[in-house]
Amino acid sequence: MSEAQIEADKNLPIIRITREFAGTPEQLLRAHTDPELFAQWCGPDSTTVRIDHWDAKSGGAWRYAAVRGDEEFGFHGCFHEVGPKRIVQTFTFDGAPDGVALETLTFEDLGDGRTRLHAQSLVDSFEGRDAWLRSGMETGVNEGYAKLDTLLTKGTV
Amino acid sequence: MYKRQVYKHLKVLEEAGLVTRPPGPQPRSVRLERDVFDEVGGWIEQYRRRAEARYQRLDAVLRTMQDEQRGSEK
Repeated sequence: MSEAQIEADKNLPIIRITREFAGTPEQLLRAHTDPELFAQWCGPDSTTVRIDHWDAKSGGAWRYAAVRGDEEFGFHGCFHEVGPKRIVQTFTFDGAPDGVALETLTFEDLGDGRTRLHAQSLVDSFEGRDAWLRSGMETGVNEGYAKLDTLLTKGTV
Repeated sequence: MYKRQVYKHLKVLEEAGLVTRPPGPQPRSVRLERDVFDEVGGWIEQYRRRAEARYQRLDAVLRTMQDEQRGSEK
């Protein structure tokens, strides 16, 4: 199986990710709309996802928090369209409440029980997109350095 | 510090895409991913790796769903 492909559009503040799955479009849709299933895979391994609100239908809304120890990162948005072939939703990180991304998830049926997922995120500016891409990087790097600091302080490295 | 805690920290670095480890039993070699530190390409690659990690968890969820479906058809 091939890994996720990513593309940052040069002309529009868009990030596109494609990935193939050994599952039918219907199963992919369920994994994205059933809150119990969604919580199992959407957050990093080191976090627990707590679903605070979930109404996966056209015109519904969602809110969840990724919890790691004492830290909590909240996200919320609206389900604009939930259909068999695609989900269109908004996405806001509570830490940057003015920012909102429009996400379009398309399930392309490849037959033989396989599906290609196209996930497109449109944000409101290039600055917004680049900050978005960078934010995870900084979190990752800072977390990494913090852990490294701990290791060094404790004299174990 | 216990070995277990060191592995836990390594896992966080791995999730952040900063290091990689080959699969297999412990102890495993740890490789620093220099490309990730390359400014522009790094953000995108790091973002991609997080998406890939998320989708590998989705792979596991899909396998469980299929097992359950097969189980209920018996």
